[in-house]
Amino acid sequence: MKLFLNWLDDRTGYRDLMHEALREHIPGGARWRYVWGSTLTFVFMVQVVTGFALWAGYSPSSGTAWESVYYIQHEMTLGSVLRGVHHFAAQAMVVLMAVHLMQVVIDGAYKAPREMNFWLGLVLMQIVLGLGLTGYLLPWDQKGYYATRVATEIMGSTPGIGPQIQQLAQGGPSYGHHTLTRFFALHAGILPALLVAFLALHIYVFRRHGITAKQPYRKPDSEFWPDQVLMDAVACLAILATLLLLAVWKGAELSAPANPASGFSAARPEWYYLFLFRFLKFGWVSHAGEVTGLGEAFGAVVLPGILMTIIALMPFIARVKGGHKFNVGFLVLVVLGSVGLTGVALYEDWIADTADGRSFRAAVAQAHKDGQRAVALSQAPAGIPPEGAISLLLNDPLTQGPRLFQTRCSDCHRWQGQDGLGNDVVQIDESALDAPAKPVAAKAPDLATFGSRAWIKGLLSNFAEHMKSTENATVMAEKARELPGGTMAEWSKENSAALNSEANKASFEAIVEFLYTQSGRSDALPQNDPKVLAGREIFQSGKLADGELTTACADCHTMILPGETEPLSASGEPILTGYGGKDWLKQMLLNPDAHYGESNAMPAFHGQLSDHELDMITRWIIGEYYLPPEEPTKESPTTE
Amino acid sequence: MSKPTSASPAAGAPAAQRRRFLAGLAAGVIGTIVAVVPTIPGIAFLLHPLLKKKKAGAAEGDGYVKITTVEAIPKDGSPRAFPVQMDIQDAWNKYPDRQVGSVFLSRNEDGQLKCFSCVCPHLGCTINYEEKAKLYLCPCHASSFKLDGERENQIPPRSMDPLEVRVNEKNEVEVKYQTFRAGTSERKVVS
Ligand code: FES
Repeated sequence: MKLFLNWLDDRTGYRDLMHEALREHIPGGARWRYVWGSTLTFVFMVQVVTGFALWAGYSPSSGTAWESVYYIQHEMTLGSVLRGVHHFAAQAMVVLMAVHLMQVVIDGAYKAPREMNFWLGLVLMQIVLGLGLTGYLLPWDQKGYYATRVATEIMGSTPGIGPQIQQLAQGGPSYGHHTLTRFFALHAGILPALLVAFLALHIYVFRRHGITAKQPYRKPDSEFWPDQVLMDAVACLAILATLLLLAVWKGAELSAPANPASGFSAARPEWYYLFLFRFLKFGWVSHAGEVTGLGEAFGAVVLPGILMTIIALMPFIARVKGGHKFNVGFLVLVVLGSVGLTGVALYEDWIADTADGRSFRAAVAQAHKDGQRAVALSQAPAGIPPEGAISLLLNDPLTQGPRLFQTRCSDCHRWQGQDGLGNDVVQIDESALDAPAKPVAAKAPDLATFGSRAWIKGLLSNFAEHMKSTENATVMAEKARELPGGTMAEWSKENSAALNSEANKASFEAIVEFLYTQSGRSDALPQNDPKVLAGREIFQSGKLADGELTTACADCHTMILPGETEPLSASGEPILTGYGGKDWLKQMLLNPDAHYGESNAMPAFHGQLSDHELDMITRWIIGEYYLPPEEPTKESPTTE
Repeated sequence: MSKPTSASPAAGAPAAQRRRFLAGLAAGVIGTIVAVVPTIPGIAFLLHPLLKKKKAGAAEGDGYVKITTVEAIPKDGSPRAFPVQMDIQDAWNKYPDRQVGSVFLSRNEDGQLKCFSCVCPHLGCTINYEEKAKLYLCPCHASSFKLDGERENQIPPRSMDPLEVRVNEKNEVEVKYQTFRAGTSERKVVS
């Protein structure tokens, strides 16, 4: 062994190198405050290792980026840990950099003859921030897509060469394949290479001047090895443990695939850019931008540029009397300002009970839901089609139905008391946007249970109550208000007792089952099931097990059974043929008069919904969409 | 930098020396941990293809894929190549009904069907059928095979790979499509 090491040293001179590396003189002994530079180097190494592995699983194009990240996250061995560590380590670098900068300035380590190194450090800082910015886009999910678009729009708004720079970054006039290939080249190639080069210089120059020891010395002088190395190692271990913990416990989120067509009201940059984001929201900042003709660039580029310039000038400022104190004071102010602005931004988004805060939180919740749904659909047996995961969501009734319901139906109808997307329907008072919102009463029935057995039961035995909300109707109001007192309501009142009696329990169930079968839903019984046949008998004759209905259903309603030539009854409205099924429902949306004739109180949507939209919303209402197999951890349904 | 001597200021005292040794040991151990741990998920990730066997990529059910109808195969025993189409799972994407390879089908007078994979057992090129010579020939390194799949020269390590074939009730020909490891005399299914 010794022989080999001698041989190696002879050829490489590694012992001198090790000496040089480990025997660095540390006046005043090892200290915890000197660990920051080493931890930064360590975290960068973690990024290199995890980054290379992720690279081997990543595919940069707008049709495969999200898909490959999904695959890394959910299918590949330890992929979620890997991605989590990479994600949190990126943020750790920003935090450590801020601490390192503060330590350097407070300890006066930026002063002559170390100016050069201070500037190298500032360059490194820009590179790291650039890595964060470019990395955020790569998953091509809603979050990263819209956050990064804001950043490139800011670039583009810079007067003069802004638009050209934006086009170069994006690889064209708009976002697409080349945006990803370019960002990826920056993120995995150019920026890391620059970082390595500048880091090497930074460390080289640092070694040349040695450590800036903090006075007074607490201990006798020592060397890098072993005490300082131990402290550095312990600090790195603590950081590594934190990263692993966060990666396993929180993980890196993957929201829904980027969809240029649907806006995203929760677009925010990574948290360490939040202060800048919040800063841009100040009225005076945009105003100054307008006055100076710099636009957004004033707040996003010029002002931060001035701050950075002052920081870069610190070594010169320090030569003036009191300059060091000014520098420290200035940095503390900048840091406090950033922390303050970040706090304000977080408060406004997550806590404040304002219209903006509420809509932000709703959008985040929705994005989260969409993200989970996209993953569930990707894991479904049908898999991700060649055109990418975005088509999964665009063709998913469970995703599109609620959105359509919210925009088209929730003025009058409700879905579980809400607007379909899980929000209360509230009155928006333009004069007091941030006041607690007032709920608005429904003007038409809640459709969450539309066409179900419970719905049919309610219609038959308690019609007036079931249709009560129509009293509030404002559209086709006259017709609507008649409903709770119309002929069906009367019939229901007269027969309610009979239907609900113990003796007629089976009869009632049979008629409900017969009507439910017409919908042809996946859990409906076949037309020739004995129970359905019993219901059919009652529908026609009105004869219950005990007594008789005042009028048989068939006396008023049209009903043609599938595959039968003789109609069960051929006159009267509402038409119950195929009641509650997809086709019936489509007709109900396009031209409800066709079902309800004179007594219809629902506006027709003919010409307002595309075929695809019609398909999505009807399939959502009748529950025709993919659901992942129940996981045992999920709350199991207690009813039914 | 001052020339390093073995004496840092208090190095003489045995207690200080022991302390220094322990600090060095701890630094070494912890340093190794922080260096090794981050690479573990990276390595595991790269080893994914070995750790997790592919879920799909093979046909569903019993592995038989519909190829063509019996009538489409020449009756005189000369082989014809047919494409094999099936659903494939490529990492995250599912491609319905993609062409994944081709097979030779032949039929003799008794109506007996024979099927060979078009993949050369030598190194995986696609074999052609030479009508005139009545031989299967591989364009890459000149492997040749007789009509019954038997190798005709010593270039390929084994004869052509036969595939199981059957006719279903609709008179369609189904083949159990498999790929085999190239370059070995033993016939081993690649899964
Ligand atoms: S691959 Fe066919 S002869 Fe080599």
